[in-house]
Amino acid sequence: MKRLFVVMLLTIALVLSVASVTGCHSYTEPAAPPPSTPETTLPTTPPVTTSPSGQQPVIPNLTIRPSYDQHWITPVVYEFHNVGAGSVIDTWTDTNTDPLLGHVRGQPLHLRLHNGNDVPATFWVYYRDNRESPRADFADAPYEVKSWVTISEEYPMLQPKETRDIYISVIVPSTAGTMPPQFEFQITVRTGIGEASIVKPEMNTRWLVTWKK
Amino acid sequence: MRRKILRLLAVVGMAVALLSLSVTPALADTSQDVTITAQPAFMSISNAPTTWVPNDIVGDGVTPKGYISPDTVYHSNPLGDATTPSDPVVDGECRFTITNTSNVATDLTVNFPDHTGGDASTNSDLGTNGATTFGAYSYCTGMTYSTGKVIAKTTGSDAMKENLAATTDIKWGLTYESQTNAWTSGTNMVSTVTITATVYMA
Repeated sequence: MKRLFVVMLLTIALVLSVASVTGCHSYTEPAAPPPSTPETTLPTTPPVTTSPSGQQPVIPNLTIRPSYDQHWITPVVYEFHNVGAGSVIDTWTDTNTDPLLGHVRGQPLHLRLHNGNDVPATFWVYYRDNRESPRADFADAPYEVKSWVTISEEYPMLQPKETRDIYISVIVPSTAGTMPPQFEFQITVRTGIGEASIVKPEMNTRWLVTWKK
Repeated sequence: MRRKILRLLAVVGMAVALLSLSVTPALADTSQDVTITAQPAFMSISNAPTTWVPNDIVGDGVTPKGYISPDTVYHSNPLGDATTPSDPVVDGECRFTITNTSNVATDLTVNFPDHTGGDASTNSDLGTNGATTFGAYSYCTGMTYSTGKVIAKTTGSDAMKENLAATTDIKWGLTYESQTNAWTSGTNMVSTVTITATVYMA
């Protein structure tokens, strides 16, 4: 009887060991965000602008600094490569540290917003169901992709001249099925929320995903 | 002796299981496996003025003011509510100005959702009007209006301006053709138009 009990214990131990190294995934909260840095120094030389996917790169003019008195957002294009079922994208892995982007390897993935007004301003950060100016070589993101995306603050209210990081995570379920080889989704920041205006500017960011082969 | 060995094995097995639970990293993909790239680019646009009431230009010969007639075309043209913009469109024919201080080239897209309130006229998304539906276009300076104006849809319009250079402002406007049938509610309706900047990528 005792021998049976011992064998059972050993079996449970073995099952737990196997389960912990094969299937279970524990989500780890991103590290505490760094304080906002509204005044930054741009690098004097452009970083490498060759896209790993071979797409037309975005070539920013690094001599132009964002205005303290205008709303702005950064970055405006993300590219994710080697994404697959079970991928968790919530942390910068880019080794190119840029003070304007505010991203540093190991820090949480984010959109950086700046309120250029002299009064508080509310923004609306949302997943865009219909792409604007879609990339022809990237398919529409399948419907379920929307549910993979988490935005830490959808209606952030920024104080005058405040710069704030809105954290974004993309968690692909392990059950994700077949996806297009390349697809795009967009996250938009609308300004003028709560104001009487009826013409509202939006700043729209591209999220380009290359699916693991 | 044999019993002791079995006990020892059981304890060791449990310890190994507990340790592996706490220290073994999950084997699912993480952002360590996914390559992320982003350029140090920023976008910054603002728009002024932020409102437009069709048929609000006093003295342009279009009467009565403060009333939108059914089945009528209105432009947000400071030269006159009924004055069709030229080919090409000039700055003076555009009500709105986009101030653009982005450090990358952008595409600009205008969407004109359905109205709410009053008769709640809906956008045909075709640029033409009909019973209970309106048509809408966007245009911008430098455009050949007659052939180049862009249908302003509820959502997913084509770009009004492609590849707008960094730090380049632009003036733009709207054309609105009211529904063909008479108003019934007698109260105002409103739509929130959006102008969206997306980084240009060839």
